[in-house]
Amino acid sequence: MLEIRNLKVYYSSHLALEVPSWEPPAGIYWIHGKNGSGKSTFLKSLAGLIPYRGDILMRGFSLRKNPEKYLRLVNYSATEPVYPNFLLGRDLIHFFLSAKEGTQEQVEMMIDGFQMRDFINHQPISQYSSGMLKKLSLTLALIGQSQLILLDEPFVTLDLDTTAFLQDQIWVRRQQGATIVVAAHTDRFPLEATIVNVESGKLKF
Amino acid sequence: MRSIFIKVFAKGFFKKYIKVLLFGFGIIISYCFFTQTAGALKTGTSDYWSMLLPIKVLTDPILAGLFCFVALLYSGLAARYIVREMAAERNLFLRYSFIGIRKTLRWKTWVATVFIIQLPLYLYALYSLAVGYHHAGLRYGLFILTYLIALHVGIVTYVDRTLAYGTSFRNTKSTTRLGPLPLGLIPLVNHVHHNKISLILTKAVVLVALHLFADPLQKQDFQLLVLLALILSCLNIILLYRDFVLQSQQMAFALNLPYKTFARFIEPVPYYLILISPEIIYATAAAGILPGLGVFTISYVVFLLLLRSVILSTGNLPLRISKVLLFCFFTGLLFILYAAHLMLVGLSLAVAILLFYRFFQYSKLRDNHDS
Repeated sequence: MLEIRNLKVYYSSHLALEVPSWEPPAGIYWIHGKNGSGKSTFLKSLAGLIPYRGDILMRGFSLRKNPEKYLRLVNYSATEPVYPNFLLGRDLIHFFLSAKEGTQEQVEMMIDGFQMRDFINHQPISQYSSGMLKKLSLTLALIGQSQLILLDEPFVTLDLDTTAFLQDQIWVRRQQGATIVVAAHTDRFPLEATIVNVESGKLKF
Repeated sequence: MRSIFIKVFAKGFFKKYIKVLLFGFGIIISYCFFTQTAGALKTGTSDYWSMLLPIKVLTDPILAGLFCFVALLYSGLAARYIVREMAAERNLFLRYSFIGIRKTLRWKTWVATVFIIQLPLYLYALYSLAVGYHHAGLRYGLFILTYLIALHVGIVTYVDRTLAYGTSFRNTKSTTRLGPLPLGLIPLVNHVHHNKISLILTKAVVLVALHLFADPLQKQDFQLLVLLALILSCLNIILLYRDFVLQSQQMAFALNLPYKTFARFIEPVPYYLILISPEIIYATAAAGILPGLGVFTISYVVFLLLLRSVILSTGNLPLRISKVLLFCFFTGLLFILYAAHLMLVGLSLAVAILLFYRFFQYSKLRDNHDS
């Protein structure tokens, strides 16, 4: 279970995000807010991508004191994923498969569900469209035994079929007891979720 | 027409590569300070050490060859820049206007433009000629001048023909590999794909520096070995900076992978060992497997780790990095001059770890963008 204690994120001297306390039970959470409100900052701090003050724990493992155990339980998909352009998609899948202790069956299911079979093995990332990059990023986020899945604008640039597949996967992981936090500034969320508004770096439940 | 071309291509070239040129200039100035120190250490030879580089360019075939090699790379960079700039959308009208004029006028314009771009090479060659003539005669002087002129003609011919017959850039093609790429080797593969010139140039300069100062390896003088490792690690700064740019911009995803912070700190060690393998091979060939080689290798890797942490703590500011680099170099030099070379290695490792733990999430990059 996720625990946030006195989380603060600064960009230079500017306080970009402040979350005094949050312990959500397993479920789907829709982080909603305007541009620049702090949605991505919130997800990135939970994913270990940016420095922060305070503490973040997942199943008792602190990101600060036990980063290895914490990060094994937490996966992240960025709004605009960026990867070294000479890599192949399968290179990245290989990294995440071994690091996040996923299974080959999981990977094959994701590749078929996101319809990546045509480009994942031989095409370098430099030739990917934004939709292909998004599919790869979502695949990496869904690999492994993660208990906290952080998705930043996951439905942007996806076609209808893969959107439906993604929604199914989110629902399946929810049933398996994971916490899924989705940042999106759409008007309607396609799944049953708890809404969390972000305004000026503060969460409002 | 000539003034427009000089403005678009020559000034544009210098503007684009000013950081690299300043780095190179900074390294040469550091080298001059170093040779002054060596001149102080080896009494009575101060003048010789001060003018060592230009003298060697005129008299030592390896240094002359290195100068010619650097000139070739520089010229290749210039040619590539001109062709790409001419193919850019904003210069389309210039291109079509230019191709229509007489060949003689086209050539005169290119000769003048390329001369401005090649000016640093011509100036250094003339400086070497002046110094070398005074100290050691003109052994390879005329050959070097002739070579530069041949390169000049080569660039002009290449550029004129390429623009006359169209440009084609290699398209990225699909790749097949035998197996997945190890995460730690991604920076090395990045250099091969995108930084070939920097990689080759750095290795060439490093090997020549090793050749010049190979004596300490044979004498197993640990003090001089650590100094040599410090110099060589500083010469790799461009590659380390490119690693930082790659990792902060394209490999931020790796921060989400479940590794301990110390594991992230030592993760590039295998990559560094591969990177410095030419130097290790040369040192082994020159001096055999000696205890000194272990000290040299460990010092080299530790200094590379330190420089990586220094770049992380400075962020994406090349000029500030070059200032911090000079500070690190001269501070290290002081330690070595006072026979505290082993303490320097230990201290460098400690500082590298501390800085890495504080800045490994590229916070300085964000702060520099925000400020």
